[in-house]
Amino acid sequence: MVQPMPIRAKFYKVGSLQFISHLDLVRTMTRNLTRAGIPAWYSQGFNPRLKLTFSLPLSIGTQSECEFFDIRLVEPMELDEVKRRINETLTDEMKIVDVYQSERKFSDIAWAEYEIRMTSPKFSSETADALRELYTNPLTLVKRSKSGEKEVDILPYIDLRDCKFDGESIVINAFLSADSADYLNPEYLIKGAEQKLGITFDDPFTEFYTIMRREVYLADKVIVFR
Amino acid sequence: MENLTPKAAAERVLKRVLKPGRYTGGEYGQIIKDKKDVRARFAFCFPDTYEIGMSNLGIRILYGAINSHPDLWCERAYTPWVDMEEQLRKYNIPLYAHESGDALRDFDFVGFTLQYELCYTNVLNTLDLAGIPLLSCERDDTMPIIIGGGPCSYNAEPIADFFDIFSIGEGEEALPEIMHLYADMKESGEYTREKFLHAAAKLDGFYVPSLYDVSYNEDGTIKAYTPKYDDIPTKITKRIIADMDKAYFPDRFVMPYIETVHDRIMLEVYRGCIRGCRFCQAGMVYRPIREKSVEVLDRQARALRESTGYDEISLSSLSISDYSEIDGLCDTLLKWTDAAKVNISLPSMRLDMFTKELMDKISTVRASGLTFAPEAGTQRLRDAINKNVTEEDLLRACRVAFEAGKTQVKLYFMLGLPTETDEDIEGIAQLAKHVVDAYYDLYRGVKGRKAPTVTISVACFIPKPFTAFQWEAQNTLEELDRKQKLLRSKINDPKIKYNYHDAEVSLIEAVLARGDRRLAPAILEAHKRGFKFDAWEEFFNYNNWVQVFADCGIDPAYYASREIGEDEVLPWDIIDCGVDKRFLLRERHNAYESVTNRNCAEKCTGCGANKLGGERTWCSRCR
Repeated sequence: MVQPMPIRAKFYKVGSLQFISHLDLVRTMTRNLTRAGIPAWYSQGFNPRLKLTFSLPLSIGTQSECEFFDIRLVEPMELDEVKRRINETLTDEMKIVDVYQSERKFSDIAWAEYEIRMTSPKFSSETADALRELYTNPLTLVKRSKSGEKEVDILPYIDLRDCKFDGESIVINAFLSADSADYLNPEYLIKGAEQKLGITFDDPFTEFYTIMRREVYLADKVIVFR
Repeated sequence: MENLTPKAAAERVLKRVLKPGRYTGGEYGQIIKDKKDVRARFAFCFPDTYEIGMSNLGIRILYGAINSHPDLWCERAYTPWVDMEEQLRKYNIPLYAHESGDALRDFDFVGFTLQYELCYTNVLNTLDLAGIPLLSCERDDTMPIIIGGGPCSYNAEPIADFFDIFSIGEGEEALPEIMHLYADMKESGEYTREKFLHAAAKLDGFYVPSLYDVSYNEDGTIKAYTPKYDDIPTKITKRIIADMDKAYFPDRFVMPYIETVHDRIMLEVYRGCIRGCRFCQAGMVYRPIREKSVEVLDRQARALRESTGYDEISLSSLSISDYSEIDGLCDTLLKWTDAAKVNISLPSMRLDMFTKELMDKISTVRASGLTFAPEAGTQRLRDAINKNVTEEDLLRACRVAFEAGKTQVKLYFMLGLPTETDEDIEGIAQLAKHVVDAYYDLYRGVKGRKAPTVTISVACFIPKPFTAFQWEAQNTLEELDRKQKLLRSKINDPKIKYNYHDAEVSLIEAVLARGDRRLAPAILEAHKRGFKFDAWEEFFNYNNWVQVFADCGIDPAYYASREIGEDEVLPWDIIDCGVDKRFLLRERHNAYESVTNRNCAEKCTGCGANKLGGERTWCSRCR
């Protein structure tokens, strides 16, 4: 093969693997690709490294159904075979769902859709109403970024789609900005609930929340990134 | 409250702790079994952090060996770091095993590997976090059997009160055997702790401390160990695996997601050691030497490379260059490792075996430095400890390294060795200077050469059970302090860096290493006062230990800096590690005369370990 062929893999990372950091994921996946016998392209030089690029960062404690990485093949291999081989090296909590060629760049990702479930015996449909109010009005929080901490109104980065009480939990569906410049970590929605509404997540047996990244989109919020 | 497994409950607090990946399990290669198919369950605990425990080859072997039996299930557990401990205690979440997430107290066996004495407080804290009573005598029939093994089990008397059983020697066959005994007794309905422990004491290589009474003389020394039953042995002989080629060795590892200390393939090349360094416990208790064949090693290396994807194979043993076919092994591995971008690393290289040929073979090592262990500063003292290397050996090895472009050499020494004089200490500084000189002899007048760095790392001698120096007194703190300062004053070259170990830590280690059962109340009290992670500099507190000993009426000097009489009953006399006590005594006196002994490859020195048998052993060649 003259030119290495770029390919993209879409995978999920759920359950206990939500606690594995991005750096550890990169290390693990590199090793898995070797183990799977994928003819992936290595950077040249004294200390060759397998070239592997991931899409959005995923913070510890967030699960995802739509993670991506790119590699380049230096020898031809059926894409289904690539998927099958990598999946053999993975556990049930992380599996490749698709391997394909893509024209899109990771920087095309503009929005990410999340499902956030908050559980507490104190919750009711009034809590859902208060949260809906909270996420659809200006919401000023201290936001951390590379340039330091500052107070930011995060409303422009939230597009709340649904917020309801299902009898046990509050189920929130929201599009959050996933632009590299304006990336909003879903934990800020939890922070907002704690700081502005006094919601607590203290006792892990009764008060807890889970976050699932469901899908990522282009700037129009309609076309699914792939 | 929902009905969560302890692990599921713990996952709810994992965002609050550092490195949550330590506590989740779920790694590739972990073994999950159906509880219906399993007759006995074993939780293997490493009493330190996940990163250290996951790097231990012994656990990897035993995990696989137990799980190779379809009716047995072995899982893993580690001591949680203090932030996680706080969460577990706050919400009453019992410590759990990583695979099933079930509480440790619901297992049939909870096993601890005892790699260093300073883990003892962690063992107690781990049991406490699991909700298991600490003292063996306080546990009833519903509680798991607590079993210990590993290097410290050769003198586990200080922690004997906390354990039900110690597995003495190699566990690949022994642990499944005792688990099957347990399962049989449970299923036939005859199980009680008492009956099981009695039956276990009759199996080869299992020491049940509660079945032996210890009596003491008026001067405080041990009078005798007396078995409580006539049908249990008066001395427990270590178990070994006779044929390493046929021994179980894993063809896959549990693959950690988070970075561990040794994140690579560890290939065990042989057990035992042909050298007879007089301070070294490992060199005695793992005898007789038993090698694997090149063919088997190559097969195991290929299987592990395929199943793990690791890009480094570390050849593991006590002294890798002593493997009788080291060149053949490297050549065989290199046939495929280069193309597969796999590095071979040879730790534990003896400096007198370090040759250019070997260095060329492993030239893929990227480290800019090499480490050698002359251990002592003069030939007289090196002879006394039977190190069998000369200054010329060291300088030759360093020249090979320097010629290959290395600029850093690290040298390990010990202070406080028996028969040591100030001249020996000054010799350390001189030896380091000669290494620096050797560099400049090679590169005198060559422009643009980096200056070399020679680091001397100096530990304190700790007398260990089952060594020729087991009777020796450790230097007092004052004496070690004087010696450390003396050495510092002799180093006046900025190219020589001097690191030394904390003598206070070494003193506590010596107490625990040579201790007897009378230490148990102090260790229990240390745990009650919150001691943990004593092997970690940020947690070890010497003054607190001294206070605990004082409050419990223990004199640390009795155990550490007292010369033990040669006719005394030793706490570890209850164990037979294969090496004869009379051999150790002969070696002690050889040390006083600075008389060296041969190594097993040259001539049998009659240590006695060959009585244990073994295949592909030097012993059989000279028998």
